Amino acid sequence: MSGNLDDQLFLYGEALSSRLFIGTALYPSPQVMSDAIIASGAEVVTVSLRRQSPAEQGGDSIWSHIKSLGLKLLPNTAGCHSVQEAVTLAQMSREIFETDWLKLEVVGDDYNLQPDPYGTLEAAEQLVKLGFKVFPYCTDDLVVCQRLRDVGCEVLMPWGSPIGTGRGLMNPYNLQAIRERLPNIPLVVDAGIGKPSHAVQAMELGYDAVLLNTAVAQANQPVLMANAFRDALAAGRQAYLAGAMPEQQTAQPSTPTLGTPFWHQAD
Amino acid sequence: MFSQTWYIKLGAKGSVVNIVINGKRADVADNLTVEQLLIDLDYKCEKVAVAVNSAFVPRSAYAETFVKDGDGLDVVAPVQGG
Repeated sequence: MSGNLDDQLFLYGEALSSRLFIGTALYPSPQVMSDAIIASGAEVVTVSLRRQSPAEQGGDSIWSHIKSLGLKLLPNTAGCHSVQEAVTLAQMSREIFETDWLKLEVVGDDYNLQPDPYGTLEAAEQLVKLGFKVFPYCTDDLVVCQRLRDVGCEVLMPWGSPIGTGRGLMNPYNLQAIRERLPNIPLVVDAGIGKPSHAVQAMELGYDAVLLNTAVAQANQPVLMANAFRDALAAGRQAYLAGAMPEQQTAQPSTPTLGTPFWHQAD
Repeated sequence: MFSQTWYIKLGAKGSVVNIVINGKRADVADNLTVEQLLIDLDYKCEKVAVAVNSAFVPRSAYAETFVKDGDGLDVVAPVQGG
């Protein structure tokens, strides 16, 4: 279902058929990474930059594997704690990866890697002015999301729960409020997804896509889990489009009651 | 991190400045451009990006950016990410 041309997602004017963005880290091997990413059907992968010594240049095989997949790259600013760090790393990313797309991360607290809303907003504003297409990783705070939109972010990526925790959607109410108040901006649940059911839940809330990494990379069988997420994304998206029935407090029989045998035998 | 060979080679050019490359101290020749420094360190310029004192230096500026005493350089390359 990931190739459904009738239900494409448009991000900064680019059409995507898959609603799964996947990370490239933490896999048991480069080959498993490649196989899992292909199985996931993802068209967007996240990448990063780190210090490199000249001696390490021969060892860029992971990057070679990623590049050979030929997918759309979404470089991140993971680990940046200040506006300047994030803006500088973004500029370095644009030069190396040759894309304006940027997953903006400004860490506010190392305990839960919670995004710094003030730093993220300031960095986003600067980066938009520099021509970046910013995908901000942010908390599930409606007002922060509105401010990020106001400074020019055309996609927002609130967290489900902290990076790598696999706890799913900690606060569905907040995520739903963001969806309802910002009905026209693409929303991606980024981080905290641990199981396909979490991804289904995000899609059922009307989110446009899900970004995950650890849930696939650290599964016992990453390729099989990638398949599971691919199916989950399709199921959740179709469920959202189909429109779920309203919840009810009391039971309603689904089988016709008229003509029920053994009932009202004789008056 | 760096071989003794280039360390001596750079230092032998004349006066020396002390800089920090990727968090490690290094003595390099004075009046060195970022371009020459990367070449001397055996970096492949098309595979890395550079910041000096936490400010981005685009490739087009390598040849005219001189490394000064006390500068801190970051040289980064693509890696996997989430």
